[in-house]
Amino acid sequence: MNGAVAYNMFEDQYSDAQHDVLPIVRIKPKRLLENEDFSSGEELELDEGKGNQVLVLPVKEVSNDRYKVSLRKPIPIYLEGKNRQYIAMHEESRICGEGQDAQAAFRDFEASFVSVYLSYRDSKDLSPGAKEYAGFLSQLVAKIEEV
Amino acid sequence: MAALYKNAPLVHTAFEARFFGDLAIETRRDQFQQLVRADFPKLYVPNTVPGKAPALQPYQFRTEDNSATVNLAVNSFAYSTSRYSGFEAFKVTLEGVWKLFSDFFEVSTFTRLGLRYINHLPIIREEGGSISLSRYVTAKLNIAPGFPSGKIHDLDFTISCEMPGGRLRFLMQNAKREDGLEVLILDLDFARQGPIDKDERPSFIETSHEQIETVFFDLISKEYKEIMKGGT
Repeated sequence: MNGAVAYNMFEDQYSDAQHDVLPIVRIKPKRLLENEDFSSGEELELDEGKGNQVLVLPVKEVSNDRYKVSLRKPIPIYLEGKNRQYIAMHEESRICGEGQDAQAAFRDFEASFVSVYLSYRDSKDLSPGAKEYAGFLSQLVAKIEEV
Repeated sequence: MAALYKNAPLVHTAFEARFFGDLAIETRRDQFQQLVRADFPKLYVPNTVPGKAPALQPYQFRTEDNSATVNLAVNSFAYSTSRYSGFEAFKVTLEGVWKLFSDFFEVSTFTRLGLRYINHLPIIREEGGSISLSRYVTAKLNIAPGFPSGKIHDLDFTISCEMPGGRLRFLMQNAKREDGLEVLILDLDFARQGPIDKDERPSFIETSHEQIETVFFDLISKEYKEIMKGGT
């Protein structure tokens, strides 16, 4: 370290110097607990400073227990939630799923997507707005097959 | 990185300079606080950690919304943010707080400089509980013949390697966040060990950003790159 004394940012706990509150206890990534060679940065990420970033998952295939839908290109699925309430959402189609964890929310999204797609595809006498929406969905889908 | 991408997975960016300990930083910390108070009104002080020298644990000056901090100890200065809106914008803010620091404290040589980008990519496990790594990254972890890389359940990988202008430490691991979402952490930390002249700091920032960006875009999967751009 060429004379500088190394310290580990990640084991520190901080107290608010202006308000009498309990120290922030952070969840530390497992590897970082042992390491002193990282630049500082992680300490803010997992406490109250975060929260403005939405996590996005690329999805190229969507399936339920009967159908598998292959998409022409990956679509972004936004995942967020806390306290056993999670949602997985595709913004453009406004289709979303919910569940007690991210996996459940995503599976619910998949089921909803397939269901919505099939119902628009198979419906007759759609209103002009619904036709437009059905057209948008069909543009997303490359093929659908039974599983 | 990739600030202009609508769906960039970047959650944290930090710059850190370490230097030989200077007690003037400790004795004039109150005056530094006055300088940064307008933008970083919150003060957080380190708790006692057994075995750690208090002077080496930075004081934190935070923005009102906790999205950015300036960390100050007798041998280090760091600026970090969770709201990254582009490298140029990051540099403008960094240089603003750096100027306050460098005008106030005399640091002619650094012992270490570091620039770090931390990304979180959400993980949805496959049926059976494995992680489909190729959905996120191009990296293949079949580190030996016969070593299966397809059905990964847990991942904790770090590599440190020399690159032009410094050393990159790359960490990839799965972890559960406080909000319960599981993520794949891609942590890219580019650092140069000293002695480094103070005039080399701006070029270090440019070089490290370039190196990190190159590695990141080589690493991220085609699928993920497509959705980073936004749309559909």
